Amino acid sequence: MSETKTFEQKMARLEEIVKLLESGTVQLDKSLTLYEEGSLLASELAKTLNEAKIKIEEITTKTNE
Amino acid sequence: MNDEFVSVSKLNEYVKSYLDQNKILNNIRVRGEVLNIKTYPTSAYFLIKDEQDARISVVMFYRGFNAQKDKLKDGDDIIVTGQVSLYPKGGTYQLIAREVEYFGEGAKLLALKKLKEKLAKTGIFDESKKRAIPRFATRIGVISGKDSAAWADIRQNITRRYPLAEVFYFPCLVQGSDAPKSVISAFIKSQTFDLDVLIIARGGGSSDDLWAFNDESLILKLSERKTPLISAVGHEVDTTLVDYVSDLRVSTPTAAAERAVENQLDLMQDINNNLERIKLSISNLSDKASDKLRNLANRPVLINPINIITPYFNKINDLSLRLGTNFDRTYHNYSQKITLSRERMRNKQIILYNKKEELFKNLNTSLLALSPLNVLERGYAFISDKDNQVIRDPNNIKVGQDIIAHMYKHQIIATVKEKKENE
Repeated sequence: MSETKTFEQKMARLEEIVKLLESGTVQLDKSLTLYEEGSLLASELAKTLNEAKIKIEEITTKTNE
Repeated sequence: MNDEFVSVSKLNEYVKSYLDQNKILNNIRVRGEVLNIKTYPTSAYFLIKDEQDARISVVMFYRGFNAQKDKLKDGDDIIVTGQVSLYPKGGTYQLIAREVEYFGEGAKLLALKKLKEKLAKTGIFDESKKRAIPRFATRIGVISGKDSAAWADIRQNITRRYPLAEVFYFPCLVQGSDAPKSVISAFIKSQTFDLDVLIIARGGGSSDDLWAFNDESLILKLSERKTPLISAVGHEVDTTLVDYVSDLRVSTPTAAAERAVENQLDLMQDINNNLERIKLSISNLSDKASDKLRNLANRPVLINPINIITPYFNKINDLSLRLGTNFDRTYHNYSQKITLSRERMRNKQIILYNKKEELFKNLNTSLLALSPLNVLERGYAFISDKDNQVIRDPNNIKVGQDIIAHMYKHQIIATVKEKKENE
C-alpha cells in the first residue's frame, strides 16, 4: 500500500510516527508495529532518493521565436 | 602701472569661493553624453558634452551612489545633479556629481511608481494573496531566457539538490519590447501543466534590460496564477513589479532553485534523524516496560506467594481457638474410636487366618493319604504298558504283552503268561 504514496506523504507519515512514539502514549505492542512501519518508510525514502533521476523537459511557445 | 597683484592661488581660491556661494551653481542639473570616462576605486572622472560639443569635466565620488553607477560608460545619455566648483590646482572648473541618472529614467521611474500604486490598489500585491512555497515541490516550472545563464544555474542546482524533481522549462524572451508578450505566452503555457511551483528568472542587467518585468499586462496575468511563484529577476538591488506580485522574491536564480526544492543531503539526514529518534523512542519504551515488569516482579506478593494464603491460615487458627477444647475432645474421641476399631479388625483377621491355616494343614494330610505313592508303600502296585500308560481295564491286557508293574520305588518289567478272571 505504501508504494502508492508520494515521497512527501511518506515523509509526513515518518514524521508522524516519530511524534507518536516520542509522545510516549503508545502501547508497547502498537509501538513495535509503528517502529516497523517507520524503519520501512525510512529505507524506502532513502532508496527513492538514491535511485531517482531528474527529468527535464523543454516546452517552447510560438511567440518565442 | 599698478603694482598691486595677487597670486594664482589667491585668484583660484577667490573664484572657487565665489562659485561655491552661488545658489544656482550649488545645485544644478546638467544633461550630456559621457566622454573619456576614467574609473578609480573610489571615484570616476569624465566629460559630458552636448549636441554643440560643449564640454565640462565631471568628478564622481562613489560614496553615496548605488552600484549601478559603476557601469557608467562612454556614450551614456545622463543627467548629472551636483555642484559647480573650481579645482584650484588646475584652475579649471568642474561639476562635482551628487547624483547621476540616465536621461528619461526619471520619467520612467515616475510612471513605474504610478503603475505600482495602481496595481497595489487592485489587491494583487497583498500579503493575503501570497501562497506558501511547498516543501516537497516535485514538478517545477521555469520561465527563463532561452539557453540563459539563469536557466543553467537553476537546472544545475535543482539537479544537484533534488533528483526526484521533474523540471519543465519554458524558454522565452526576457529583454526588449517583445519580452512581455513572450513571458506571458510562456506563463500561459506553464499553467496548463500541473506544477507545484513556478520560477521566473532572469540574470542581472540594467534597469532597461529588466523593464519587461514591470509590464502591466504581464503582472496582471501573473496574478491569475494557480501555482506558487518565485521571482528571481536581476540582482538584489533591482526590484521589478514581478517581485511584488510573486509569492517569494529571491536575488539570484540559484537562490530560486534552493527555495523551490529541498536538498537531498538534508532530506537524507532528516530521514536518518527520524529513524534514530524512532529507535530511541522504542528503546525508551521497552526500558520503561521492563522497569514496570521488574517493579511488579518485586512486589511482596510475587516474591512470597505464601503471603497470599497466610491471612486464611490465621483465620483458621483463630476459629479453632474460638471453638476451643470442645472441638479437641470431639476429635479425640473419634480418633480413639477409629484406632479401636482398627485394632479389632486386625485381631479378627488374625483369628481367621489361623483357622484357615489349620484347615489347610488338615486338607494337606488328607491329600497326602490319597496319594498313590502311600498306597504303593503299603504293598500295592499298578500296571502300565511299556510306554508308562496306566492300564486300568484288564481287558486291555493281552497274553504275551510286555507290561510294567509299578511298585514302591521299583518297576518290574514282565510278560503276561495267562489271564484269569477272579471267581
